[in-house]
Amino acid sequence: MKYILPIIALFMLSACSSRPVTSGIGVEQTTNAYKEQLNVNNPQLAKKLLIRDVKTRQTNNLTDVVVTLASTYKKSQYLQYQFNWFDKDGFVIKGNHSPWQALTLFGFAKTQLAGLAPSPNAVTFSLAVREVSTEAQEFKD
Amino acid sequence: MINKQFKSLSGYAILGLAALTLTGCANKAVVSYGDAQAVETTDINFGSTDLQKVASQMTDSLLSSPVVGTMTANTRPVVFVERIKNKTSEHIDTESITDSISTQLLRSGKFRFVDMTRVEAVREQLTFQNEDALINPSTAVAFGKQIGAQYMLYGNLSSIVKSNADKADVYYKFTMRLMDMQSGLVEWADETEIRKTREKSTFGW
Repeated sequence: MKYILPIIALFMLSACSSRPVTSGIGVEQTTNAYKEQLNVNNPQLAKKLLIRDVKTRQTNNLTDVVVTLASTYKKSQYLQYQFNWFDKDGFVIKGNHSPWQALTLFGFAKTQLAGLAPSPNAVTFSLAVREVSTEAQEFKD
Repeated sequence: MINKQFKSLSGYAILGLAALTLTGCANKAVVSYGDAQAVETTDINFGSTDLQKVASQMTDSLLSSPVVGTMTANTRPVVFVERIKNKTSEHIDTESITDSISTQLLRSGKFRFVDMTRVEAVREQLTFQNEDALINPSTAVAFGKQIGAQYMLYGNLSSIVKSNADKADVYYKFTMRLMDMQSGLVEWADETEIRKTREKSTFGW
């Protein structure tokens, strides 16, 4: 008897969980100091995932960026990331369709996320990394 | 006695709770707007996320390649998109992929495009302008002034699909090339890969 209630509660939670956690960690290039650019909205994810380094350079007059992402967790992580680009006045580049991209980061692995500005007037960027635990992306070991 | 009553009461309570749980999750038709840029994993077929990934990776690769850097240093080369050959077993609108790529390349300000899919419409309009008595001849757009493309963009999309009772795996390879029309040399080429797997989930229904 005493097990039934928790089981029902579990069913209620699992069957109706339609709002996955969509916050994560990120980089926002608004200031020059690298430490101040880091953005943590999801402390639990920040325990497993670190943004180690942000590098930018100019390639063919376009801002080119790589962000080093490192896992501090023994299991694989199923993540998504998105770059957004802004002009020198901080306006978002209109019509810039930068999709969320899926990424599998293996345990304690390190990877570089590369982004390229869509046009020469895009000079700063923001990067968001999140894990989405929807039904279609069940967490596996 | 009281204990028995309590037991049956709590039985009803559990039934009620179960009923509430079920009605709470009943199949109601709900319409909502989603994020067009979100990762979509409805099934294993070629989807919007794959299209976006392929288009953005190809554009980034082309725009950051050193050859294109020298090519676009002083001029904006004129390119025409031939087509992406769909060699997969699925029906895929490859024109949608080339549309995304050419739009992103145009937005970068590095290239200019001629649109081969609208040649007949342009010819029809120019014929009308130049031959119909309705049009003032001084305003008619003359024939023979259009700019010829210097480069051709084309590619292939192929797939390998494998499946057994519990697992399905699809691998897409997208290859793209930029050819100099005068010399016939392939100036740039790149490929991107996508792997998608579907497994039976242990939990969930």
